[in-house]
Amino acid sequence: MKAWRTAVTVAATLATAFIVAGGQPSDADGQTMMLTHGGRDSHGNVRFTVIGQPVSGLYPGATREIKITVVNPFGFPLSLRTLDGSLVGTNRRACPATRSTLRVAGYSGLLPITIKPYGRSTLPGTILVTMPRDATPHCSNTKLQISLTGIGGKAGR
Amino acid sequence: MRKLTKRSAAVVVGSVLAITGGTAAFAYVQGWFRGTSTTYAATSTIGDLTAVIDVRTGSANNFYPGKIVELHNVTVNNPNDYKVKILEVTSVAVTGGGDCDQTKAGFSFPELNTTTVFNSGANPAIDLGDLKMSTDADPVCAAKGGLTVTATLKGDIAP
Repeated sequence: MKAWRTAVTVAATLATAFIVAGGQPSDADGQTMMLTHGGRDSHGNVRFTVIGQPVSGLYPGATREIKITVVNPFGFPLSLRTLDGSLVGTNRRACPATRSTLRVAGYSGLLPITIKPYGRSTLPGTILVTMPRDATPHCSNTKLQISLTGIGGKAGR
Repeated sequence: MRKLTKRSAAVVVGSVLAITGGTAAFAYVQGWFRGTSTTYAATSTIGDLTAVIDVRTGSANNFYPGKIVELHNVTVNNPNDYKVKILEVTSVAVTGGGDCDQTKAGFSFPELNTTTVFNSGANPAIDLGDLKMSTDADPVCAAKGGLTVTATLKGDIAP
């Protein structure tokens, strides 16, 4: 029983130590600001805001540019490292959400880009979307849903 | 009892390692932030094509009830920025005939060219198909040399 108690005690101590260590920010002020002002997704991850401007008038062979605005909810400069888009859905069953319907390119500008604390910045680059020339005619008058994902970190980290 | 204790201790220690591993990963990742959203790209609504047929000229100048005329050299206008093919005629209008309008003339297209691919803008010299005057066309449409038939055509994107 003594060994059992010892093992449990050690385990509890270790777990507590690691959880506390994991929860401590490397920069206490930054982490505090992040927790106070950052939003959280359904998994509890702190997040910032990416806004993509809708585009229209696509047809086979046509290309449009999605302008991106990033909102930094944090009290420190945010360095945007990656930005990607992907086609995730359509409102027409006969027009599937595949590369044969729409090709979504990566962000065309240079990264990383720094967004000021609590700042809002429309990025110089865009995300190009192109409808292939051989896209099915069933895709006319269709709304294509594009998911945007950006990853960033504290600038200078 | 001693053997059971060792096994339990091993399980506990293993669990702790798993937890600490995950925690360490979280600690590593927590300096990175994610931004996500959804936007939309809308495809074009295909605009209707139009064909203006001047029945005063060529072989189409002598319509009478039930007569069918092959339409040649018709100009078809495609208002879209892309190539389309004709699917069907959605409406027909008759002008220039005084009291003779489409309800009295009853023009229809028994044959329609659905294979030609129309470029954006004006497409001249098109064999559009056949135009027929209704067998019960109103006599008011007789001897009307200045009729203009305008057909509105539904199109589909041509691959």
